[in-house]
Amino acid sequence: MVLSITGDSGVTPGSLWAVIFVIQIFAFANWSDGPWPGLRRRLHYRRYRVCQRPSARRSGSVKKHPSDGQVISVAPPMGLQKRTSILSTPNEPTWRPMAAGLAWLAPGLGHWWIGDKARAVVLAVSISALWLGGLLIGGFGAVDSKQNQWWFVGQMLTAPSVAVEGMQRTGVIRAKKGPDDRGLLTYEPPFGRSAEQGVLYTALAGLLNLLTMIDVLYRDPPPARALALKPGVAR
Amino acid sequence: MNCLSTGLHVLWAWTPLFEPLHMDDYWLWFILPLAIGIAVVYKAIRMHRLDRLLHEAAYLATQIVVFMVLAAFFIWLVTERV
Repeated sequence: MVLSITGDSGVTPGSLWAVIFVIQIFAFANWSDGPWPGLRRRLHYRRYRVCQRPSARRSGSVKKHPSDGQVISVAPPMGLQKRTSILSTPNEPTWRPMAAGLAWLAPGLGHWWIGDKARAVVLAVSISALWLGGLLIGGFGAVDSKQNQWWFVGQMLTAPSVAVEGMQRTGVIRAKKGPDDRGLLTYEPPFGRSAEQGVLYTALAGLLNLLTMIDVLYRDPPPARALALKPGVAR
Repeated sequence: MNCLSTGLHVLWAWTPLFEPLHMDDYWLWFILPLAIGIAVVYKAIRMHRLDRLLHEAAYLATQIVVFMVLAAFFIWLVTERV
């Protein structure tokens, strides 16, 4: 990606977005309160309100999941307004920028890292299938920040697209210049419906991966993994 | 049969990743895997437990496709008949 920015054609909007995204990830990692503290507080507030039903307020109750009986949270009696969660407390930041970064590197990797492995496999298979499908339909030419600058904003939300773009920029693979151009790693640029569908599939895979990154950024891991991820707890 | 042999010839001559797939005649069918992919990812994120993921994703994918067909029909009605 860095190579693509310093390529001959100068800075493109796509590569600029890539830089902004990477900076944002590092900002998340180094900012303990997160970049949007207001949003974070609101999310916490919503979480606490869930358990403050009248029945829970009267006596205080343990909230269990209906299917497996696993304790999700403990609500204190009326008067103590804050809900006590076994996974997080209001003073404990639950942003997981590392997981979001891993999700960008490979779809589903962030969920795998926080221990939500079944979800990780589903996301990895579905997003990778869409991305690979787009590449099969349009060929390597489906990811091209020069031809499709704004579509590349969506495509770069998965690291493999950025890798393909980097390979094009560094000359590892290149587009055919004519029918007689028979280089070893030259690809035929797509056109018509193939180009449309290839770009659409890869860009949509990137946008769906953005959803998974946002999801994993604030998702509570399963209880066992939550203890392992908690700072200061022996692993 | 002719269509099948043409399709096989297209696939035989196709080099994956280095050549685009020639799909101008049946590109509309590629909306189906797209809708399924969107539905599966969306439901995998939204659902607390994944027990009923396939059922819920199939339902959402059907909703997407039906809505797109209705939207296409409406647009066709407006552009061709009105």
